[in-house]
Amino acid sequence: MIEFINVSKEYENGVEALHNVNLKIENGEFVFLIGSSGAGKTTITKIIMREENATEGQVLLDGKDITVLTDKEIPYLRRKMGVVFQDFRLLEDRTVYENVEFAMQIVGASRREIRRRVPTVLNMVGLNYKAKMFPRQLSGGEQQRVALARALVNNPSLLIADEPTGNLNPETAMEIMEIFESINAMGTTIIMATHAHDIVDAMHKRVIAVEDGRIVRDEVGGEYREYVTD
Amino acid sequence: MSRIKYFLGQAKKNIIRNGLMSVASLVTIVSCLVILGLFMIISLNVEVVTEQIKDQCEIQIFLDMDTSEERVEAIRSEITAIGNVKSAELYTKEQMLEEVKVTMFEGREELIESFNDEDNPFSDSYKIVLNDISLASQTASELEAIENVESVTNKQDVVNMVLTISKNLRWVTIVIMLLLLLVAIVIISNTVRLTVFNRRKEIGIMKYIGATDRFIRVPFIFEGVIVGFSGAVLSFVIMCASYSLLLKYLENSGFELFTLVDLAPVAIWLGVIFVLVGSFIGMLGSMVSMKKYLKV
Repeated sequence: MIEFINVSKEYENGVEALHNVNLKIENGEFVFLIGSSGAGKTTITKIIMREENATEGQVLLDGKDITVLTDKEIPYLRRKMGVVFQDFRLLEDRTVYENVEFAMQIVGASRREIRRRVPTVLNMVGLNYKAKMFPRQLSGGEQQRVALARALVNNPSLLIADEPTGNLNPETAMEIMEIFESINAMGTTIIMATHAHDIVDAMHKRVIAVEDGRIVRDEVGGEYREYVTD
Repeated sequence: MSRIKYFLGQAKKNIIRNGLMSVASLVTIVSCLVILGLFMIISLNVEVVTEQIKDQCEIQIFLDMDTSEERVEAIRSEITAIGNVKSAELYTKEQMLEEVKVTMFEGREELIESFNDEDNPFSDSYKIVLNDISLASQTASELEAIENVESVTNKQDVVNMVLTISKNLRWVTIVIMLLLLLVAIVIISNTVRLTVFNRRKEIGIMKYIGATDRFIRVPFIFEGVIVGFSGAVLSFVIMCASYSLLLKYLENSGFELFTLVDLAPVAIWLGVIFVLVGSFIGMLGSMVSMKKYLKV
C-alpha cells in the first residue's frame, strides 16, 4: 500500500510541484495519474521511487516512510518496484535477453533462476522469439515490451509507468495496455502517469487528476475528459 | 563467483567498446611507467656503482722505509684497533716491486734489474678497508698518527662525490615517481570520466532498476585495473628489452669503467613496482571519476 500524507515538493529552482497531497493506493489497484504537463503527476511517481524526495510530509510504502531512506537504501527500495518509461530506457549494447537478465543480476539472482525466469517473462510480453535482438532492431512497441519484461522479472508488487504509451501509435499502445492489465490481474499494483485520453477512457480504472500540484479529482472508473482539459 | 565473472565480463566489454579511450589510458600509463622505470634503473645502478667504488676506495698507508718486520706486524694491530677499520692487508715492498715489474716494465725487465729485494725503493704498506666510508678523513688522520706511518692515501673526494650523487638521485627518483603517479591518476581519471560521461544514461538506467553504486562502480574499477595492469606488463616488456639491449651493447663495446646491474634483479624490481603502480593508478583513476554520475 502506498500512502502520501501531506506531501509537498518544492524543487531547488523554487517550482512548487506538489502542494499538500494526500493519497492512498491499495495493493492490487490500477491507478491512472492524469493532468497536463507540469501538473505534478510525474513528480508523484518520482517521489515513490525516490528519484526525488518530498520536501514535506510522509510517503508510506507498506507502512514504512520512504522519505527518510538514505542513499544507500534507495536501490533496495527500487527493487520492490518495476519502472517503465516513455522512452523505454533499455541498455542499447545488450540484447533483449540481457536487458531483462540484467535486472536479475542486480539483485544477485542465481544463474539457474535467471535461466528459468527470463524466458518466462519474455513469453509473457510475447517477445521470446526476439531474445537475441538488440533494442535498435525492435519497434517502439517491442522495446516497451522489453522494458515491461525487465520491470516484471523480479516479481515486484508495484509497477510504476510514466507515459508508457507516449511514444507508441494507438494500436500498439492498446496492446501494451493489455499487458499491463494482465499484470494487474495477477495482483501487481500499477500506477501510471499518462496523457492518453482514449486509454484512460477505455480502461475504466481509478483516475487521480493532478492540477497545479494538487489532487483535483480521485474517482474509481473515471474518465479523462470530464475535469481535465489539455 | 558468478558476480565476479559478471564484473570481469562487463569490464572487458567496456574496454573493447571504449577502444580509443582504453588505448589512451594505456599509452598514458605506459609512458609514465617507462619514465619511472628509467629513473629506477639509473638509481639502482648508481647505488650499485657506488658500492663498487666504495670497495675500490680503500685507504692505503705507507710505512717508513726502515721499519723493522716486528714493527710492521705491530702496526697491524694498531690499525685494526681503530674503530672504523674493517680489515687491513699487508702489502709488502717485495710485492710492490713485483707488481711494478709486471705492470710497468713487462718485456723491459732489464731496466729495473738493479732493484731487487735487497735494494728495494718501495716501502711496506697496508691496504685498509673501512666500515663507514664517509668517516674516511677522520680515520685517515688517526692512521697518520701511528708511529712509522709515513703517508696515507685517501680518495675521499671521489667517494664523497659519488655518495652525494647517489643520495640526491634517490630523492629525485622518489619525487619524479610521485609526480608521475599524480599525472597518471589525473589523466586516467579524466579518461574514465569521459567514459562514464558517455555512459551516464546507462548508469541512470541501472540505478532506476535498483542497482547499488557498488554494482555499477565495480566494472569500471575492474576496467581501470585491467588497463593499468596491461600497461604495466607492456612497460615491463619495453623496459626489460631495452635494458638487455643496453647491457649487450656495453658488453660488446668493451666498456669497463663499472659494471651495470644484471637484468634479473632489475626485472624483478620493475615487475613488482610496475604491476603495483599500474593497477593502483588504474583503480584510483576509475574511483575518483565515478562519484558524480552515481547520483540519480
